[in-house]
Amino acid sequence: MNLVIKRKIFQSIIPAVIILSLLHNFINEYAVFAMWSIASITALLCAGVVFDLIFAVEFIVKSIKAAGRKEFLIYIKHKKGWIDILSSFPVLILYSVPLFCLLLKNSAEIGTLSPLPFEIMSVVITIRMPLILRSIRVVKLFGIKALHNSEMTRHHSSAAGTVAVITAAVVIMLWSGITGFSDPEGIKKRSSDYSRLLVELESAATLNNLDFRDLCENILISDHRLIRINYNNGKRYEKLSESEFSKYYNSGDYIKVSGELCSLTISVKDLKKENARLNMMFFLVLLGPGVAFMLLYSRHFSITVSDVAGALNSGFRKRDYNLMIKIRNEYKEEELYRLAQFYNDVYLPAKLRKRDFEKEGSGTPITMDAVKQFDENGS
Amino acid sequence: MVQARRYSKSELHGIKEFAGYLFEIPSIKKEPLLIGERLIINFIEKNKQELSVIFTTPGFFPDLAPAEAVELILDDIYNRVYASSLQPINSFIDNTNLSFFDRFSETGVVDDMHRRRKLHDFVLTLFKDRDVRYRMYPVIAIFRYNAVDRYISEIFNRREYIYKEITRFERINPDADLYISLIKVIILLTSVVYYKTDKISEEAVPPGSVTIPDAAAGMGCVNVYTDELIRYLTSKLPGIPAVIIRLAVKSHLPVDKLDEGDSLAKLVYIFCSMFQYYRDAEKPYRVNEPTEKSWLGIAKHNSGYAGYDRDMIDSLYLIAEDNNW
Repeated sequence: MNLVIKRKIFQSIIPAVIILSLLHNFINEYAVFAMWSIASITALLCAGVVFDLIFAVEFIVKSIKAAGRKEFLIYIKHKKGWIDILSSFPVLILYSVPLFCLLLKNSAEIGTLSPLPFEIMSVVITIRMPLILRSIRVVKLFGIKALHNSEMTRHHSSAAGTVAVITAAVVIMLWSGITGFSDPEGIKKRSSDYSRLLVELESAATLNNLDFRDLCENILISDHRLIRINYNNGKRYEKLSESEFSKYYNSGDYIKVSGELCSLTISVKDLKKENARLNMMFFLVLLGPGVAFMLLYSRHFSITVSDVAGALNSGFRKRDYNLMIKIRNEYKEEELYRLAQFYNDVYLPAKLRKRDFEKEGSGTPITMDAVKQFDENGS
Repeated sequence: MVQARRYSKSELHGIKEFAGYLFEIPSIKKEPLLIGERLIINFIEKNKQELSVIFTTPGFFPDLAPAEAVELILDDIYNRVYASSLQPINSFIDNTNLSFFDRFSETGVVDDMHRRRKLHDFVLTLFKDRDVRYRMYPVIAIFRYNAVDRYISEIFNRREYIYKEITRFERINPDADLYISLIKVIILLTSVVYYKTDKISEEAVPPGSVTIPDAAAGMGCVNVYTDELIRYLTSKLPGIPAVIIRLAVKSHLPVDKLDEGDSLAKLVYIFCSMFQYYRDAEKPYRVNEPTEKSWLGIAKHNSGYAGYDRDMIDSLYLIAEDNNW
């Protein structure tokens, strides 16, 4: 009894955690897109690490249980163990752990990290692996019994939905890889653009005998990416106060471009915002087919296939289940419906003829054991 | 009949609990009460010896003789079945004006209250007879599910085949409410065919204790029994015309054994067959047709075998289909 309750609690908690993790995945990107404060974004990143840990633990627990029953391979192959592992460990090891270390250290920019784990993390982010692997957790929801009672519906809509979601995931990852590694509009390009601009400004000031600071500020004042100019003589021009800067800018949100006479602090948040916008779109592209298969296709499958099979099964097995099956014109040539037609036209009439032929008799389904239990229940 | 006052409250309470427990056994609980009763009584009759030992044990009824315990159990079961089954029938008899039957009468007018009281007493007599009671399940189901009202109203709205067939009585107006009452009375009387012939007539009619359907299935002297039964009913039910009683008695017969003018008997035969095993389907699938449409759809295929009027079945099927019954 206790075990059953525990299992039921476990079975209802995991879907709730999956839904929370999917919501988190979207909010995580929205926070970057809407330029929330660094504190909020950091909290969301930590929550992501926690979710990854939870699913890693879930995979370990399920694996141990399956191994105990000598069904580990069955769990991996047929009970979505491969989704459990794919959506937990790779993202935990390749992204969450390095990111967590980074948050603890608050060290240099992500893009310029030299140690191997951080370089790998950079690649992982480029191909949007964290987003995609966290999003495919939607596939784990296909098995929820609350959505459909029919095992057949759950199985088939889950298979079709999984194919759709995983295909979309692979396509997005490939596309992100191809465009991410060859994209000229990256941080490096921005850095070189501003380096070139600084050189041009310095040359123009020298050639035209102009004050470099005036020229620099006149030209750059309208540039919304400029955060700060630090002149070599110690003077500085700031668009954001120190407190605002530390509230909204983390390492990785800006670049520093040094020239001969000054250095510029340039925001790259717009690039991150664009990336977050794409991430949100890809998240919805992954979630869309998942939800569609889970709610729409499974309902269609249930009405057109598993309900028919269930009605046939009940009619064949239960003496008092004698309801005909509705056969819609558009399906009447399909194998299952041809069987249903036979069931309606031949089997049920024969079943009722047989029942009419049998005398009611003196049979009874009551057993002496059932009657004796009255005593046990009473005492 | 057992006199309840002879037993202590705790004994009667124990009996009540035991009877209630039997109806709660899953295989009985899913059945209508009347069918459940039959299954319970089948069990008791089959296991009388063993039960008489068990009943004397402390957990059961040690202070009662086993035979007394069985009697009290059967009484309690009957009371439960009576309470759950007869209410719609009693309500019909109490609230319906049956004075239109006087138009058929050749012997004069009968006080309607008297007619209905006699009808009620007669139905109760049938219901008290255990063998007949078991056969009354379709009658009770027809009343419970309001089948006559539903179908006859539709038949009169459509005025198609069944309407033309059943409105042949020249002495009554083709009015839906009137026909609903007429058909309900016929249905109430149909179960009488399951009354053993020796209970109808004290004169020995060979081969003795049989029912009309038994006689019809076994030998050719069914007409003797039928005439005897109609004579018996006419004397028991003043104000119910012989022509109606004849229709009721004939309504257990298939179409090939009925005359052209017996359309009401054909319709009642279909109704009784439809509700013979009527159950609310447990958890039907969305792709399933409704219960009555399903039965009528199957009956189309079985009409030749079962002796239904095929045209009536077709009409009723369309009604059930249009109303999603």
